[in-house]
Amino acid sequence: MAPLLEARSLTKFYPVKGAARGAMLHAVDDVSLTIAAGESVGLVGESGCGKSTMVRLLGRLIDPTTGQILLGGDDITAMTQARFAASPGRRRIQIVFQDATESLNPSFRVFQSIADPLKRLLDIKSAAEIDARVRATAALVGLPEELLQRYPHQLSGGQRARVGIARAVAVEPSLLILDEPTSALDVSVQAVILRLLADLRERLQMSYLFVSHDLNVVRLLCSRVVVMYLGKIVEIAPGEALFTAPRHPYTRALVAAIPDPARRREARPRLDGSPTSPIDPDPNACRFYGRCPISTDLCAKAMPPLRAVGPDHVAACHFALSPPGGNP
Amino acid sequence: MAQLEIDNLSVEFRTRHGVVRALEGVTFSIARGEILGVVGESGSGKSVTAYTVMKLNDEAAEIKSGRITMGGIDILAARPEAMRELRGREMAMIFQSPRTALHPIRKVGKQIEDVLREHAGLPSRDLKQAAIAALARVRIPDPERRAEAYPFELSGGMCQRVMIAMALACTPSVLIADEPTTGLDVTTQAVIMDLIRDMSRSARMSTLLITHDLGLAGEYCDRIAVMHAGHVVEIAETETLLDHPAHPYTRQLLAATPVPESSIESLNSIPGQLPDLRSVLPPCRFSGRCERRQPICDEGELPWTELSPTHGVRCRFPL
Repeated sequence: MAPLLEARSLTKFYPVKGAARGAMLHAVDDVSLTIAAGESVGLVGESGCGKSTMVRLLGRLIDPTTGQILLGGDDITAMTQARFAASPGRRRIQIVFQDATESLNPSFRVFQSIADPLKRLLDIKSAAEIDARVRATAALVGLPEELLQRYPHQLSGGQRARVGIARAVAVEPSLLILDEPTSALDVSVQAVILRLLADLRERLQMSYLFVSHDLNVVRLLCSRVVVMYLGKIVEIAPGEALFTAPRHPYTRALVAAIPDPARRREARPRLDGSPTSPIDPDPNACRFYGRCPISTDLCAKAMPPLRAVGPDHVAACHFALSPPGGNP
Repeated sequence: MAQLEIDNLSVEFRTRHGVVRALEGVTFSIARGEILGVVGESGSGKSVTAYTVMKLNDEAAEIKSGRITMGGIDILAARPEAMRELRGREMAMIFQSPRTALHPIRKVGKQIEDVLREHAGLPSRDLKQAAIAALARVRIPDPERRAEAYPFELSGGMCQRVMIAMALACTPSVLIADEPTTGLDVTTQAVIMDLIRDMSRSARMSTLLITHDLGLAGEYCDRIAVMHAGHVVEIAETETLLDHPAHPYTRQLLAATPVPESSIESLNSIPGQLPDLRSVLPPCRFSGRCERRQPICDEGELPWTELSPTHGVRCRFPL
């Protein structure tokens, strides 16, 4: 079966002001991935790894430098971002932004926030139909009707998060991109929103791309996880495999850094330092070289490609299957 | 004897919309070399507790009752000049979002020199070297060069290290860390928390770690105090609190926190909301959300129950 979404060699470079002429920041560098219909994929990595650029690329908010995005087999990068925004395809990919406080229009009542995409993207003119759809969507995300006439500042954090979700699912997208949807919420509220998201995916048959820095949350919601480092994918694995048997040394460090009271007496490997510069990185060196605890001279001379290391599991490390010095 | 003792602390804020009863009867102590975690959701009073200990509270704050002593010194009775002396030398604070807590247009080395000049009384000629040594202590690579950097030239993790270097420059006996790793990457968080733990241990500091993350507190703290709506509802040694919580809120909070073993079905949400701290409040501020509530919960004084010498709970019907 064809995947719902396919990214082919996506690249996004930004020119760097004030640097040498022609210097480019490699935000996303030759990234390919697929998302199946109904699948929930997690995207993790540290700040600056290209997660947010990926959200904007796959959400079609910006144009890639090179590469294609296929949605249901159609190349949605064949037209510019501006034309895509006005096309019927726009409703098929929606985004729930990180902080609902900042991403909701402060002068829109909740009703308007949810009605706006219905008018713009589904071109619904009948006031009665909009009213019915807004109420149905509010009910779907558990937003009480009496809140529909409120402004965002009159809502709690959890209620605002629900509005952000309602606005995105109102147009019945096939792919919902969730960018840190619960990072601004208290745990008790986060739990409610995570359950709502799991429930909505099932009911509306959507695919999710779930971006989060909280790996325990990713583990709860995603069947497959993509790990990025400095603009590149370094590992893709089924959720359980990624957390229990990570193959890339960066993923290992990431998993080891999850706070875990059960392991408080253990000394765990720590990843110190910061990534090398994303400005014109050496195309022939592993991006993790210099920070990697197991690197060898080979890693400075050859960029490791993504290779299969297990069922549905790929990693970009020369030593993903055997440690340096061991039998290759 | 405990280095930091907080006894029956109650704080109120006068606002245009009424009096907010932010803290009531908060009591705990921290021994030398110990890390105490204060955990709770927004509005629980964690930060107000920290700011009150440092006497950095807003003008609208009024201390209604209580005593705070540090090494036997009565903090609440201390005069502003004495407090100025204590802050920096004897007690230090690390803030959330280090980039905004640092002076934006002063080199970080100079900012540490300022602290040393003010509180350690070092002669001018030694300041620069002492600042570089402070940066080296928090394992900043190439400290001579980093001392010349401005905060905007450093990553978030590096800025937090500078904050820690500054806080620890005069080897204080009490360290208050208010969400020190919120906003940092999980890998950086681990490095910074390891550093805070190592420093607390080696300098025998009493550390108050404020966090919303029970997992983080569970990994780094010796004991944990759980706060809800201005009350400390439970205090226990970390293992006890995590494995045998006695307060219904602690149990609910634990079940709401995703851990590797969680499933979406097992994840608990806590019904209801924090009570409005401006209203007339029942003795147990959790009773409106509690599944074990009995009529007596809303009557009379709510006793603090010692389940063991190290485990206390503010509940009539502990688990």
